[in-house]
Order: sequence, then C-alpha cells, then structure tokens
Amino acid sequence: MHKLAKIILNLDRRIIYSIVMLCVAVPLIRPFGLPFRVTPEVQDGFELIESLHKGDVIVISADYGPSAEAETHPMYVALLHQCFRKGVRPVILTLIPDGPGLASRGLADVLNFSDPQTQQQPYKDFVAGQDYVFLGYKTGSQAIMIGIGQGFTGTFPTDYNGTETASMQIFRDAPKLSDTKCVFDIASVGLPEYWIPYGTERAGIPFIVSCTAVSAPQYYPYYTAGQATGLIGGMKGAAEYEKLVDMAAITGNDGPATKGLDAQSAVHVFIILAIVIANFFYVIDRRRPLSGGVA
Amino acid sequence: MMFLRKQLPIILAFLTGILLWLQAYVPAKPASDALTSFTQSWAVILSAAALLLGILSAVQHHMTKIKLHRKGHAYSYITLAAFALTFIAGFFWRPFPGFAEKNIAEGSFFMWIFDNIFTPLAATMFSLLAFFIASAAFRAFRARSFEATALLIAGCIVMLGRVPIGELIPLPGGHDLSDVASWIMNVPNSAAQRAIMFGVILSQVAISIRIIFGIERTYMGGSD
Repeated sequence: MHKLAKIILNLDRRIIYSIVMLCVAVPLIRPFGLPFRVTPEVQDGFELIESLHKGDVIVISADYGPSAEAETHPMYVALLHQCFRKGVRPVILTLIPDGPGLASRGLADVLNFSDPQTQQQPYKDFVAGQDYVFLGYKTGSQAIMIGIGQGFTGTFPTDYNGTETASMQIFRDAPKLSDTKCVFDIASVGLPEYWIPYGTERAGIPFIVSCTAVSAPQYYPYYTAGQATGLIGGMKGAAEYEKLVDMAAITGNDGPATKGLDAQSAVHVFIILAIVIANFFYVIDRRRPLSGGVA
Repeated sequence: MMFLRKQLPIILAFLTGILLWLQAYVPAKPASDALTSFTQSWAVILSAAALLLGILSAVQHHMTKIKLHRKGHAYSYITLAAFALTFIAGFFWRPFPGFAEKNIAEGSFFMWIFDNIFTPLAATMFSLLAFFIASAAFRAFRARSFEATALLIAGCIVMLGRVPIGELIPLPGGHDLSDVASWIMNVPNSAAQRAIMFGVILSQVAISIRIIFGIERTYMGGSD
C-alpha cells in the first residue's frame, strides 16, 4: 500500500494535465446536457431588466477582456438580446483598456443576428445614438463613474466611432446616470466595488453585477445588503441567464455558457476526486516525507 | 531641488486630499458640482498621464534589457515589436490596405490583431490555470489540520454545488448540494467578506489621513 501511495503521490503532472484536457474536451464534443436551476441572485437581476419598459435606458459596463471571455461574454450577448428584444436602450462603455474589442464585436454580432426560423435580422434597423450607443474606453474608472453622474456627453464627447454624443437622442432622453434605470456591470476586474459608491449609490439607481466565478464571493455582501440587485457569477450564472433569456429559442442553439457547463462540471468533479485520492494516500503515507513535485 | 522632491509633493497631496474631502461636504449643489467636475477632469488627465508613464516605463525596461543582454532579452524584442505594431495599427492615420477604413472599427487591422493574436493568447494564458489548479490541488491540498480540513470540505462543497452536478446530489429535507453551496456563499462567505471589507476601508481611511498630513511618504520613493 505504501508503494502504491508513493506512486500516486508522485504522479507525473502530465497525466493530471491529460485528464483535465479530456474532462474539458469530451463534454464539449459530446455534451451530457446536465439540467440546472436558476438561482435567486440571477433571477433577481433578470427580473429587474424584464421590468423595464420600451425606451428605458440602462448602462452596460463591459469591463472584461479576452482572458475572461468564456465566463463573461455569453452574459453580455444574452443581455443585449434581452434589451433589444424589449426595446430597452443600452449605453455601453468599458473601463478597462482591453474591453472595447469584445464589447464592440459582441454588439456587432447581436445587431447582425439573423433569426434562424424567419431568416430575418430583427435588430438591423437599430440606430446608433438612438436605440443604443457604444462609448468605448476611457481611462480613470472612478472619475468616469462620477463624471457620467453629472452628464454622459461631458465625459464622453464622442462615441467609439468618433460621432458627437451631444446630438444623440439617447442622451437627450437620459443625459446623466440618474436618468438611466440601472447599471449592469459585466466585469473580470474589481470595478463593481467602485460602481456602487461612485456610480449607482450617488445616482440612486439599481446595480447588477456579473463577474467571473472566482470573484463572485467578494460581491455577495453587496447582494445580501441589497446594494446589488442581482449577482451573476461565472459561467454557471451566465448559463442561468441564457436560460432565462431563452437563448436556445432565440438562436436555435444553447448559448456558449450553457454549452460549457458540462465541461466545467467534469473538471470540478475530477479536481475533487484528485483531492480525495491524494488525501487518502497522504493519510496512508504520512509517516514518510512527502515527495514534492512541480505544480 | 529639495523643495521639488520633498516639500512640493507633500503640499500637493495635502491640498488635493483636502479638496477631495471638502467636495463631499459642500452643501451648495452648483458649487459641489463645479468642484466635482474640476476634480474629475484632473483625475482623468492624471490617469491618462499614468497610462502613458506606464507605457514609457515598460518600453524603457525592455530597451535596457536588450541593451545589457540580460537573460531572456530575446522576448523583449518580441514585446517591443508587438507594442510598435499594435500602436501603429491603432494610431495610423490611413487605413491599412485590405482592411476597414477606420483603424479601430470592426474589420480593421487593429481588430484583426485583437481577434487573431491578443484574444487567443489571453484566453490560453487564463485556460492554463485549470491545469495548474488541478495539479496543485492534487499535490498541495492536504487535510493537515482542522482549519485545512474545514477549508477543504467547504471548497469541495462550493466547487460541486456551483456546477449542475451539485443539483444531482440529494440531501435530507428535499435539499441538494447546491443549496448548501448557496448557503455558504450567502452566509459565512458574506460575513467574512464584509469583515475584510470593513478592515480594508478603515485602513484606507487611516492611510489617506497619513498621506494628507505628510506622515506617510513612501509614495515618494523613500521610507517614512
């Protein structure tokens, strides 16, 4: 048994890497389709957007880059579908330098979306500056949050494409943050913690946070205190939102977050099995000094 | 010279700190808005200047590395070349042949770099974490003490409870493992995070007061 324990505890890391790779690849190729429920924190965020009326303006802060694309981008796409379907007008901005690429691509994808059943493009007549606006990136995150509290056009004189914002209808209807209905921050960085004191609490509007799974725990105090109306954490949260928006019916396929959940489940199960097995053999072998390896 | 290096930064920090502090307590709305607008403009300008300083510092670092032939200096060539290429792609006043007319629009050379180089590289770097975490969990996550065991059990419950498979693990009372994971996140996690948050914010207040009154001077590059 000690011999076996020694072999297991000194297992070549390439074997572990190979199993992780299989755990990711197999469910992506042949999905299991594990069912999942919608949690209250995601439901609350969804319902806030659902309660809005045609023409209402919201702020979407797309504060994520390609490194967190798998967890956050599906949320952004599902939210844009929900907004456009309801006629809610998003003011999209990003407060991190690598944010504009994915935010502009996601917006273009949704605007050019073609309904698989009718073959029509439901959002193709949407006009920038009237039905939506993409402001791009500007440095000075907290200052920008305070700035748009006083006025969007003063802080962003032009949008991402260089069009003057002063003449835009969307900013005549909602000139400053307090005239919008909520801020929806999709973030892979710590910006939601700044949005609350510098943005939404000053403007007196609700706040919804969507973030990576690893950063979700730090936003629970805001959710339980009511300072964040909704909390959508990680790929699971994004998949729940896709389910609520019914992305499968809209696009004819499960959304990317829903597709990724099986792979995530498989990897989590493997990691837990690895911990249990390693601890079992550790107990057996604990009289021996632990042979270390490279993580 | 000593005034520029020592006294001036302390005076500036004091005046800026007092100004920003006053801003929150000015009762007259027009005056408060004017002050907010003024300080916000300065914050954006300084933030942009800091970004520029960061770029210059990174370029200087890699130039020095190349000049002195330090270990791994070949990567510095790649960094500088990638920086120059992206910079030109974003700032060049004429469209690149075969790409969109606006240099940051969809279909531009800049976006081509973003979609085909930056995005896959960033996603790859982040994805590698899964492999390292799995390997590290296998090698290092041991139930050596009561605290480590509690952490290990809570971690396993949350990991399983936050993916669909957790909903398939039944518990007494009609609950499942995801309910336990939700309770951990909503109750003990929220309480601990709140305590950390209060501690951090109180420390920030203390440090801010120290900086405003010139007691804390490490930001100038020296010691207390």
